Amino acid sequence: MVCSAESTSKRQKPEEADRISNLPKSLLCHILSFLTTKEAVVTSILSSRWKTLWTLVPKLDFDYYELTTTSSSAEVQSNKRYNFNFAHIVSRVWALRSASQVQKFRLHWDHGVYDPVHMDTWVRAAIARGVEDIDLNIDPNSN
Amino acid sequence: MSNQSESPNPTSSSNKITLKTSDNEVFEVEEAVAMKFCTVKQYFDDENNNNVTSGTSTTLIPLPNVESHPLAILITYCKKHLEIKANNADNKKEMEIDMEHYEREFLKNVMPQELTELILAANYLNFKEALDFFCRAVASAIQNKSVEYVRKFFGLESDFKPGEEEKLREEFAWSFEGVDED
Repeated sequence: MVCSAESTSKRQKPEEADRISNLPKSLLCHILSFLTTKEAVVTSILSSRWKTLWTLVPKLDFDYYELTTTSSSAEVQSNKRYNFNFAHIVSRVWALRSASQVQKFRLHWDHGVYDPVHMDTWVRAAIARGVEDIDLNIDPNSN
Repeated sequence: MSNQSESPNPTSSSNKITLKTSDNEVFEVEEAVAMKFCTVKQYFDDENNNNVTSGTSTTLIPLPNVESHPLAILITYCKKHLEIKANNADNKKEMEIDMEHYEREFLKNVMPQELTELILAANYLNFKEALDFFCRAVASAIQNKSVEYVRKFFGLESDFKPGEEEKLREEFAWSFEGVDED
């Protein structure tokens, strides 16, 4: 009797099993909000529950340097089906998040080919999604 | 308000609040500590509004969603937090340095499994500093770590269909730069 009561209360709960990952989505998003957007996107590959979780994080944080190390490894890039540059990546992230709220939008684009039209689009998108904190660092003369 | 934490004065020691956890443990904490838990503060405020009859602190606040283990850790964290704040009231920079040092040491004694219950407890108690602290700790534990490492850390297994993971990896190739290899 005791055993059965015990086993139902501790049903299928191995020591390490899926504990942090079982937190409510809002708390997992809170965890991801302490990462940059690039770092948060990596978690999409963990499991199906995580696949779209990053799209709900209310913070977007893009840094040109962090994101463009990709283009330096040109020989690796040429083997891949997709080709990314900074503006593509940021636009794609905005598109995938669809209507999720944004509290914080940080964008550092002080290198590379700066494009004011993209910038304008993203800032408008952030405002439309209720942004409270914008941190932009741009160099319009860079190219 | 200035010497709320360690006064031997019996009148101020009456400012204790009793918390009862889901596993029926009773904790008596100083008011200053309990007030950092916004859920408790709210309960207290409501109580005060509804019941103006006496100031006696016999209130026992039930915390049906918090177990004693995480609560004890949160109380320790909270006390230290208040202490560091009080010691550096006029120097924000010093306070941040002390806090960082304390938090780094603190994390050495926390197991990954404990982080989950601490996050849940901090969230339920609406203790923002602790919630942010533990969530940040999880975030830095997985930062730029390999996918396999993070799965292990979270106790997760991939449930993707064959090929799906490769497709995601290709689609988000830009995000995997600088991430540890499996």
